[in-house]
Amino acid sequence: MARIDGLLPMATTYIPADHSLLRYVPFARLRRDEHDTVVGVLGAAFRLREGEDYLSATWMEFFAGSRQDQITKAVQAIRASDLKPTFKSGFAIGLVEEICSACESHRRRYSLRIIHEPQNDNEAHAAVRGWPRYEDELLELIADDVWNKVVLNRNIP
Amino acid sequence: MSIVQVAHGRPDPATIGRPMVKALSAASADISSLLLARRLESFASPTPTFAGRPLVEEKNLREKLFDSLAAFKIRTASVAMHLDRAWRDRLFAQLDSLLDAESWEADDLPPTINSFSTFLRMILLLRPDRRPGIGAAADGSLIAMWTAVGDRLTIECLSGDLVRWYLSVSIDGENERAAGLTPLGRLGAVLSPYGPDRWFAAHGNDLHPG
Repeated sequence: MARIDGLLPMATTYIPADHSLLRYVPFARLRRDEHDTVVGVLGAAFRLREGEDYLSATWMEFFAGSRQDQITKAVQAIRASDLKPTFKSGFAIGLVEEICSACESHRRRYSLRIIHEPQNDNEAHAAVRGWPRYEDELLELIADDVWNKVVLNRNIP
Repeated sequence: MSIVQVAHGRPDPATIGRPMVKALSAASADISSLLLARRLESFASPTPTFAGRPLVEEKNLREKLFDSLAAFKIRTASVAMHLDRAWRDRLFAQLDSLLDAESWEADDLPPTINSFSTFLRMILLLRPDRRPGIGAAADGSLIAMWTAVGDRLTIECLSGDLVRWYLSVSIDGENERAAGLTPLGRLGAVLSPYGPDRWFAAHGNDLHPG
């Protein structure tokens, strides 16, 4: 249970292992070939910025419907938030279990806590806590093999 | 200041480094109407107080991106004799696309000239037939990337001729990964055991001068 001073304890909702996360990826961090065709995502897309305590993502199964419906609703939720995806940007999708496993398999054994932390502008927001910082090699592996399914913003209605 | 200098505005970044032919007579003929239009425009524009902060920030970002793009093209022009013209034009098109203000993240730092200089020297040292895809980290480092089937090479260009590289290859059916922080001068040597031609060799498309 999480507690906020002066308020009742709030239940912590961990995202189940067989659920998926969708993360916004700016155009500059999409893996592209020499013709700018998107072929994946770069590890740099998963780096924490200075001052960030956790990695932000959107919980896909928060939304009902088919896989495609979930993708569309998750992207639309991000578009409606303060984060404004650019036309050429994309989104990376990864399975919670595989993301956690990749981090735990690292020599430093990162233990993630992936928590549903709704925000005013995105009710499906998830915080990936315990995310590795300054582990670029691990982030490249995650980008290549784990959190590696990419959808383009322009292809989502 | 001559009338031609007054008419000379900031060039379109997409045209820097490319031949530009303008009909001066047409430009000078319209100069008085241009000046008048600008004057009228300034009357209609909101004062800085009413324009609000976000607009100022957006303008700053656009200016920074423009300046970066111009600096990159000027730096490239200084080594133009080593680059095939078509290759250089395509590189410029990639930079135009990357530094397009409409697709740039407002929180990202524009790539630095030091990072670009490392990128350019890397290209001249490796002399790849295939151009890399070009991306950028949030801190202003350019990222060169090559992908060939499932084999990936990612090189982050830092300042001072240093590169941080990652690769993932399949050799004899076995997957291998490697990474390192290497001075540019040794990059070719550290990549050679992994058969870098899988990424750099031409596939009948882009040609680089030999």
